[in-house]
Amino acid sequence: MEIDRIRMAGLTAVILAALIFSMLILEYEFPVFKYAEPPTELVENETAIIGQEVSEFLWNFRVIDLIAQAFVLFAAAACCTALLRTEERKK
Amino acid sequence: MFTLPLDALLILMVATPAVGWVAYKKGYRKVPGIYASASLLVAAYFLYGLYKEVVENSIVLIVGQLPFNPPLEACLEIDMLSVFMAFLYIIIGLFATAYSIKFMERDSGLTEYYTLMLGMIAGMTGIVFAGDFFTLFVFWELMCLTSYALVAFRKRKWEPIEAGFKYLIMSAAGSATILLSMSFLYGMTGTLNFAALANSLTNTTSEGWLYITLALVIVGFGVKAAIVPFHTWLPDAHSAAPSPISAMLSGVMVQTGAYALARVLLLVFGSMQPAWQMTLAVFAVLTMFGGNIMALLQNDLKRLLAFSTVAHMGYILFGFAIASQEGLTASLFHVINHAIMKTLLFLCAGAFIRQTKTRYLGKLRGISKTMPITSASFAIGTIAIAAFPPLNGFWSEMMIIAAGVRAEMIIFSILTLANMALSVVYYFRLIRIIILEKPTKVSERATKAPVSMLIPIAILAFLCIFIGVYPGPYIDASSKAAEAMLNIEVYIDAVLGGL
Repeated sequence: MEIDRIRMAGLTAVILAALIFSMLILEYEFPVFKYAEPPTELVENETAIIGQEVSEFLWNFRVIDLIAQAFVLFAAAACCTALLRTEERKK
Repeated sequence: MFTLPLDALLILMVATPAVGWVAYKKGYRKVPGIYASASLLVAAYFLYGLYKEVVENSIVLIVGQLPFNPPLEACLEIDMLSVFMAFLYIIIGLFATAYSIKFMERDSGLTEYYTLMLGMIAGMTGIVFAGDFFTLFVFWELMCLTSYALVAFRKRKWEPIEAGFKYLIMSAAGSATILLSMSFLYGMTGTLNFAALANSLTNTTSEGWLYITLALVIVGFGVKAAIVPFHTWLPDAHSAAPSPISAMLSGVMVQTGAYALARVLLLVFGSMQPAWQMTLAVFAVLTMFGGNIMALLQNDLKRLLAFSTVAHMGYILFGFAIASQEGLTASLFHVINHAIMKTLLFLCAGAFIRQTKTRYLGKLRGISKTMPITSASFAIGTIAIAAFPPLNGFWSEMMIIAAGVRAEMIIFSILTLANMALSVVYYFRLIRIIILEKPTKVSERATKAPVSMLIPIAILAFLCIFIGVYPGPYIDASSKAAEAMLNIEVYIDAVLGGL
């Protein structure tokens, strides 16, 4: 069987990267919120109110992202329409 | 909603399908193109107002909900750099859209085409206005999504579909990498606001996870900025896309990747400058060599120009790697010049391809005999990009080298100079083929490009000469944008000052 050298090199690079990444994860403990500026507002993890809290947080704090995301969805629909359009027949 | 120029772009984008539908019913096929061009003019007008507001009122203009709560709240933070980049996107977009009216007239789905074009420009503008990493990412997705569809727009042929799919896979991998880096940053600092991130990480250097995050940021944005070895999507996408889209991708979209990279590195990873400075310089030199050597081997006009873009991204990244006022000014000045020169070259290439139905240089020999204005403009663009005085490319490329020498990055400066010399070989080969050689049968059969396509080409060629002869105002604008980029304390203070 013929060996594709480029593919082998790519595969080796991916495996090496994964190994290095795993080693780093084992070596260094992740500094959870170590550099956070107090006070950090956290949402309480109570299942009954979590949905309401999250949506309230999104509307109060991330409304720019929400509106921008709506335009991303519109663009996605436009992309689908563009790529799935029927070609006009030439006269 | 956001700011007037961005609002105008987004709302007019959403209205494009309705305008297109009415125009098609009435039989006016050119209306969506004219509407898109007019939309960009409106956005440019509003952007001028925003520019005056930034100059008069504040160094950093903040747009967000009231009461303003920046570490958690999404906001837009607009400084001179944001306005500088947005102007470039809208102006280059205007040239590409105006050119498309005639160039794309035989294609179907023009309403979708202009909707996506406006969406792409809105996405890029949103990226440069974003004051929060997540907001940047949402607009980044808008830009990427629209550009995938625009690359694959001529879906009847296999090449755009293949190029679009390759671009989608590579760019999505890049976006996922950016998202992972964002999650790490949020995990460490509890915020994604740029000013708050910069404030939190001011004095941090020896944190292993920060190095991992830094590597992810460079790789993630590096895919879009076409840094070698993450550049392989670019030659396929740029050569397969319709020429006005190639002009947009090459002229401004890859620069958005470089902008995002420079912005995040300088603001968020400012404390780790020695670590990323050398890495970026090495990648810059690799990118120059990769782009220039591959360009030497090309026989396809658009592929050659695409590889030249890779090389120029190397020059721009080297300027960013210098990270001094001089280096950043030179890089940003080259961003303007490269956008103008490369848009000109791709639009000329589009005119040649439209009139001859071929991209192969062997068949385009001597085309200046039948297409003199396009060929003359192409020659001006080629001479400018080859950095010959007194055209615009000369000044910015020399400024990058001078900044490198002053920052004592002598070896990198010599390598950059060597690359510029190397690039002259293929640029002069282009001039020889287009202007000096005997016409082929294909070239002889070509007719002149339509006037509506020649107007944007002629204006861009004129700009190459005008900026070359009178570079002062453009260098000043680049210098102010570079100053905004380096004034991290002012930026942090403007956003978090009241907290």
